[in-house]
Amino acid sequence: MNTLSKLNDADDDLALSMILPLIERAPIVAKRVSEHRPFADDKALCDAILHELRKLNEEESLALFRAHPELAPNQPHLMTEASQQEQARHGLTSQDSQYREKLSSLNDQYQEKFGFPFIVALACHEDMGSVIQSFEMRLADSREAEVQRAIEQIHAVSSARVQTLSSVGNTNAESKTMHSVKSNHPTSSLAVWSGVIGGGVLFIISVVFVIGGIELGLGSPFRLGTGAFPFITGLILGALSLAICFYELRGDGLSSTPDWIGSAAICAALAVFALTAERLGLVPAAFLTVFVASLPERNLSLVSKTVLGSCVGIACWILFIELLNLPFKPFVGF
Amino acid sequence: MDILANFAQGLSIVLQPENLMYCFIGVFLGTFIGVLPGIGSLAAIAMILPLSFYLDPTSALVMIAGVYYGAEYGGSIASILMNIPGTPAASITCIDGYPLAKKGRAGVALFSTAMASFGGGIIGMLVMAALAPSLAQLALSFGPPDYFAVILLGLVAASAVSNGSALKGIAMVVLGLMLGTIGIDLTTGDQRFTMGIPELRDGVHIVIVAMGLFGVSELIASIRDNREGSTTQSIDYNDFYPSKAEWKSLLSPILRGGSIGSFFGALPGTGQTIAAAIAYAVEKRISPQKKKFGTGVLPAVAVPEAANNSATQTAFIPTLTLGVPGSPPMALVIGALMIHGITPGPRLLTEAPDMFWGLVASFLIGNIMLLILNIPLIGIWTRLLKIPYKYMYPTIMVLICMGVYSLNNNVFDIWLTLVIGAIGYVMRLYRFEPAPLLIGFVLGPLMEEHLRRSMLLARGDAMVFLERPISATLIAITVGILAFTVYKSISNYRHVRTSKTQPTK
Repeated sequence: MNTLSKLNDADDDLALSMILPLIERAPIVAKRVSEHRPFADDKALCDAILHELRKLNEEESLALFRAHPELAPNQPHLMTEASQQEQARHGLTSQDSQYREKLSSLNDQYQEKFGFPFIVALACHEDMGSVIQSFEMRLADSREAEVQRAIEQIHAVSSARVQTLSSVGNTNAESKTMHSVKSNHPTSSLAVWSGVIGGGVLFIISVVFVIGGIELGLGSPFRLGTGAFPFITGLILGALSLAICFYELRGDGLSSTPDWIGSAAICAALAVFALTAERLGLVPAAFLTVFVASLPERNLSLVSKTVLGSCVGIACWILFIELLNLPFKPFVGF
Repeated sequence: MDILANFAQGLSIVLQPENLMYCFIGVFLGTFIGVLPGIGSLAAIAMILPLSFYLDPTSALVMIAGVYYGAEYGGSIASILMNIPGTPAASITCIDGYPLAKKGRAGVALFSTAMASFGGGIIGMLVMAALAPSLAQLALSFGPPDYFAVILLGLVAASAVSNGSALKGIAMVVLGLMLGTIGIDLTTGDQRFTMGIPELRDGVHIVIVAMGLFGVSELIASIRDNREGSTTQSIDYNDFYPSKAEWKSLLSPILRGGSIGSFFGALPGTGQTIAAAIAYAVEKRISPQKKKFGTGVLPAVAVPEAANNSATQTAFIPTLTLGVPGSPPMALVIGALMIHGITPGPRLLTEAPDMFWGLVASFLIGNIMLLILNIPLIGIWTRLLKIPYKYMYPTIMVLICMGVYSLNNNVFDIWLTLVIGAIGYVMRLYRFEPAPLLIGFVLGPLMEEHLRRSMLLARGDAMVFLERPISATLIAITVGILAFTVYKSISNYRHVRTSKTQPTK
């Protein structure tokens, strides 16, 4: 209950910032809930949220509903961090989720019929099959029932979030809430402008090829010169890159959250192999490559990394040098 | 009869112990790599390519083909047991495969996919044996402008149908064409864009491009997927064989899936993913169990697998008879053949019939091997999935390094792989598909050569492409595809625009 007591003791601003992520994009509700402090326990907090949700008039609730994200939206990075996590549990933030098409059509039908997006507490569903089932059932229901149900679902979402918050623990949870208030997504500027960045880089490449093509000589239509093909392809790419900048200004965001640590380890491993293969020989190079590549694996002990590296090194020796007779030296300068 | 005699001849070639061994090695390694979640058949072929350079061309081709369909099959194992598609095409198998596994019927699902793969593979092989010779006959009359038009069609089709934005897909193809111009111009002997680096004089090696764009960047992407981990469903070996009624319900879906797959596999640019998706969609309309699709029914697992595998075989038809790869893995096959000094094209069938028919026959042998590997030995693969990925990926990393280094025994190639791999990863993040780039890269030099020859023959008159009936037809189709793509993406763009103004998000 550490988190809860912190919430009770916090000043108004900090308390608001802790409650905000619990209720999806509803600063007014959060503010009102914060005035109910102190809370005796998690349940009291959840009850306060439900109480405030029920007090909203029709117009306010509709506005709240419309602030909710759809399931598997096209731009998952625009959701709040909490929503991203909830949807990611079912793989819905991935662009190639198998349910994307199905959900998209259901979303549209629902939106058309009721005028607000389908709201569901994903935490209450075991798998996507049951989500879709309830989606289809609710689509057939009346508007009044759906408005009621949406309120219940928002409350269920909040309750689930309250539970996660208190189960995650004290300091960690607090820093997480604070963080999500400050920014929804750390890489959002990279993601939002993906179309322009990609198009821009392609444009620069195309300019290089067009100029390079002219310098190499275009020749005549009859006898195309060395530079003709680079020149033509450069022109086409230039046009395409401008079109990408224009049409996909904001892109669809990144395909996944970048794994900078993993990519750094893999690139470093390649670099280590390049640096050591000829200086130290194949076996030490393989050993070091394994070692560097597995650096980000914290739950792999130093000993197991060493054993794995040695095994791979020796296996390479046997496989590539002894069996396949490739012209490598197992060791250099030893 | 001719076909039968040729096929018998091919069978005798493939049954030579050496070829039999390489076929087995290919199928085995392909399944092995395909089973690893997140690593697809392209990366698998890229990793095997350097090895194949030491073999004779027929063995090399048989082995690469084995890796290809082995990896496509292996991909379905991870999709059924873990809900992580090993290959993109296998994501269709996930839809019903994983629910089946959760119901405790993983064994039956795996058995059905093995049978479906086999059935689909045989259908694909029959189509290839029947169609390829006549297509090659037709292609013999092709002149340079016709080839140029075929390549253009292949490139546009491959990029327009690729996942995600068509605009980006086409841009990637063009970028691939440009990457292909690096090195010495074969016609004039001038160096292009080598930046004075002597290692770039021979151009960028295809293995480096493939390894960087697929091996390295898929490895990076798969590390986290696998770390986040997902539970593997266990298999009950008592419930492994389908019941009699289930057998019956599988037969016609396999036949339908195999036929649909063989058609789409042979078209340029469609590939197995689309074949599997369309076959699944068709089956979902006409199957007696259509209402249960998505909840875990056997035909829904069998259909995409049959389509997938038969498309894998028929993809070789345009590759070998026209020299135009329909899909990225086929681009690697062409690259491998060129390294062996063989230019795929209509003359391949007459000049190297042993190779062609040996390959066709190897589909039969390889698919039988797949059955053996996957029905009695399924336990090996499921145990492979239990090995923590943290031990697997550093090992794969070393294999990638070894493969690249062995090309020229030069560390420059490793540095180049690093650069291309890093670019490939960022490209993926930004939703620029690397597959069209690879196709452009392989076809670029061919396209340039045919363009130059056509212009030379026509004395500088570009109208030659529209005057010859074959090239005019192909260019008309190309323009049609382009127009449709442009129309579709613009209407999509409008749709996104209008939906953004609504207060839904």
